[in-house]
Amino acid sequence: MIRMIWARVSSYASRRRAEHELREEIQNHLAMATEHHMRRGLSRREAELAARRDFGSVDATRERYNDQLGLPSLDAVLADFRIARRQLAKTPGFTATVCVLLALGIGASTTVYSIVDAVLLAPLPGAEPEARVWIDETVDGRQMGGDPARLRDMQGRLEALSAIAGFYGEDAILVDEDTPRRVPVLRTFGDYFSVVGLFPSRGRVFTPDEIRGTGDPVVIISEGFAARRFDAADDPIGQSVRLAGQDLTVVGIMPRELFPRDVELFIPADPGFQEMQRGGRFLAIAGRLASGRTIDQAQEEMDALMGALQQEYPDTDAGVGANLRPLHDAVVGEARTPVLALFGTTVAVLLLTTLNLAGLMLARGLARRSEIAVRVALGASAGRVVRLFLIESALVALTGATAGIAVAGLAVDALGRFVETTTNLAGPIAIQWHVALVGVALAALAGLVLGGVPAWQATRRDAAPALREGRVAGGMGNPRLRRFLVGGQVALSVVPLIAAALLTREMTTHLSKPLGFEPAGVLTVKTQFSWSSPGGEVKQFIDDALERIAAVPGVRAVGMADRLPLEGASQSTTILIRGREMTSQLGETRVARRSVSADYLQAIGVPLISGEGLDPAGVSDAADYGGGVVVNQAFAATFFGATSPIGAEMSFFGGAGGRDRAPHWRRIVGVVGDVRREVTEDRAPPEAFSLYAESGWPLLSFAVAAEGADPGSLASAVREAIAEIAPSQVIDSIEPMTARIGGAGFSHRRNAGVMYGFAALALVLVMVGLYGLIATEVAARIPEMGVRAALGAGTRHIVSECARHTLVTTAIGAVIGAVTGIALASALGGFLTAVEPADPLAIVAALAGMALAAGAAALPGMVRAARVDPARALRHD
Amino acid sequence: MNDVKSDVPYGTLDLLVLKTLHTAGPMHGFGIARRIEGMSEANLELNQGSIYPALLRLQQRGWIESDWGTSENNRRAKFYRLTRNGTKQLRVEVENWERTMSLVQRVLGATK
Repeated sequence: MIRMIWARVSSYASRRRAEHELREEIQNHLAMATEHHMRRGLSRREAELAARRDFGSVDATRERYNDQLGLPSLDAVLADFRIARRQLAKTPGFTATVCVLLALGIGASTTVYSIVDAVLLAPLPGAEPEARVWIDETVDGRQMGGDPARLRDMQGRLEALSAIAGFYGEDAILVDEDTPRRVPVLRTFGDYFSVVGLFPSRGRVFTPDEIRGTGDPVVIISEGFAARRFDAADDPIGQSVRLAGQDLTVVGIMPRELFPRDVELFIPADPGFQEMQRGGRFLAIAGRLASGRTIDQAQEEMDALMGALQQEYPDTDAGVGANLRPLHDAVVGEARTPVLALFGTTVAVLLLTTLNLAGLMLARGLARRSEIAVRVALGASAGRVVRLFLIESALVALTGATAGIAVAGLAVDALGRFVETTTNLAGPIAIQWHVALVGVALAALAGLVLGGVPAWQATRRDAAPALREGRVAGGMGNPRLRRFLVGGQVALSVVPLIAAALLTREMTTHLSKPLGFEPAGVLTVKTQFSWSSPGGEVKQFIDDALERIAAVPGVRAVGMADRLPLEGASQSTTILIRGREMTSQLGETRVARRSVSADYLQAIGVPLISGEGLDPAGVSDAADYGGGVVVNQAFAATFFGATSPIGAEMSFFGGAGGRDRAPHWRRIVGVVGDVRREVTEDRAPPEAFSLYAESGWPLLSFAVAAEGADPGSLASAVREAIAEIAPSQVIDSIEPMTARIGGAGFSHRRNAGVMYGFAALALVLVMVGLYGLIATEVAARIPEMGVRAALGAGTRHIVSECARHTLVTTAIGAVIGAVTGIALASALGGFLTAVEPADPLAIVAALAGMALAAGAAALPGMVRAARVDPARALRHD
Repeated sequence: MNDVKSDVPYGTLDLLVLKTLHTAGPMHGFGIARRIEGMSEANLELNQGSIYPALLRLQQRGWIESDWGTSENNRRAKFYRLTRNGTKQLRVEVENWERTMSLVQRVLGATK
């Protein structure tokens, strides 16, 4: 046996010589045979013919000899390629179908995997990444921003963490270029660089004094900032960078890889912030495990520390805690659910593609049994026939795979840009070649196995029955296999359909809810100050801007708010109500606190339900906490039930962890309608509006109500008005409120858009698959129909039988798919807020879509079957 | 004499080739084919070409060897000869064949 294998292998090495020798041997054989016959008295021509007759087919001999030699010769393979190409060209429909199928399947799976890989699997930059932990502060189990004072406690009192740093991001205004521009800044508390394991590639880190914010004003800049701000010839180290209100000296330049990715300047936080009293909630905190310590040990230590702090600071630290998790988990966590959903859908699409391909190849192979039988009968060896089919499959798979990679290239580019903007990624998204290769391999495998197996089976059989069967019975081989392929495809494609339908329902449900304000005719303007800007400076700017913008011709009203509707929460606190014992539930109910100007609610058209608006005259003295409070209906209902809240007095920061121990009472002067705060919110939370004067919030949104219908025409005048009072102030955006609302639903629409893409893809795939399987079956049964018709039976029976099978199989597949889809949707609950995973409308819509697609795919085959002309059918083949 | 020629029974070509080389010594392909046809007194339908895959198969099993030489008509031809293993194998094959034949004969005789 071993000897045989060795002989085969070594004969392969010398096969060219062997083939050459055989040719010579055959030539000599024929010459000797010719001489032999001539000696018996035949003419040369007769002798030659006799010699050839005796010898039999030279080609068959050579082929069998080659089979015996082992692997096929290049010549034979090339010849097979030509035959395969001809075969494929003869069936352009099949060829195109398979190519499109592979292009879509491989394209989609590669694209999505590339993105998943970049978001979930790619490591964040930095040394010893596994030692980095993210620290979430909690109060009574609810996640909160970090407190600088508690950060100081952690830094001094934990041993399992070798370094702990806090940071927050802000935009600074760079004023030493031609036009002022915003640059993203990371303000650090503690030794940030040691924690993340990233260090300047040139220059130095901050000194201990600088870290505390008490040294010279210094900055570490990103490579990108250095390239943009400084000439290549100059050394940026030691140069100065001028921000609005601050001159900084460059001490270091970071390498290209950063965390967070888009930061340009690293600056220690102001000492005033670093030494803040307890009660701040704005820090992100990260730490680095001391060598040999585990995250569990650190968590234990942290729990002990938090317990101690609760005792030491009962007024401010009641209920505090801190949860540790790996930094990577925390950073990619936000993108995880949608990306996993996407990934699951891709797997479904890839499976669908493979099943589809399997169905097509199998149907084709079975339909060609008679062709195979003819080839075998004409002397082709089994190996040769199988090889021919394999080459055909390989050719189609290769073409389709190439197209698939091209599709992936385009899609990764387009989709990747979307994802990069929504997640905190370490690097750009690039196409993952190994995935493309996996896709290609899968396609090739499916194609080869399913193209080769039927051919192999056919050659094993006696040719005669196959020939007879091909003429009369036809059929699709094993009906159970066919049904499995159809049902499986339907089930797999129903999953993305359900997902798309659910997302659509989710979106329409949200968008159909009342906004609570009137966006038409309102122009919005956003600008901001630094978190460390003095409150007085911010207030002065707001006062001036409101006055100046109000004077612009065409402006009906102007207001300012810390955040616009549908943009999420800004500040939220618990409250106290004078003279009321707060139940524990009310005491913990958080109220969204909005800092606005007096005219803001009127400018965006929020209806005043009862009472009156905020009174700017009441806040002439900021320390007085006057001016009253306007609350929304949800607030009134939550805290006052059916009674009117007007005239009652309330104080922010009422509950545990509050900053102000002594309540500052303010009077509730009015009740306004509920305004949608977020797109996905079910109902408005309690909200309280107070005048901005006392607020240190530096993010400013102006709402400018136009007299006319087109607020966009005011944009340039408003821009000029702001430039007049603050020339270096950068306006972040200026656009009509209606456009902004459109943007608020953006991430939902994007998710839905991706899902629509997949659903459409799945529909196309399943239609291609069903069409192929049904058309092949009908074609194969046309002779049978001819016989039936000739015997007097109508073809209707066959058509209806065909239709019934398709219907039943599709229905079973659809039910399985629907159940799977619903189960997956419930498993990924975070996805849906407005509708149940088993939303009946979504399910009906998905199934109806599936039914339509299946019907459309099955129709051409059915029509063809119904139109069979018995006479022609019998001549068929 | 019967006009009907039989195909070479499946699997017997190897045996016939081995036997031919055993009795007639080294020989080229055409000679082997001629000899088999001659021995069967033209009762056997042999595609002469089919002996080449058989010869290759026997070589791969190590039962025969080949060398280029010159034929009686001064043509270059490949000459095949039995190896020691081939001689042994021939004995085994002949035994197998005879056992099978006697079995078949006994069955045929019994049912007559």
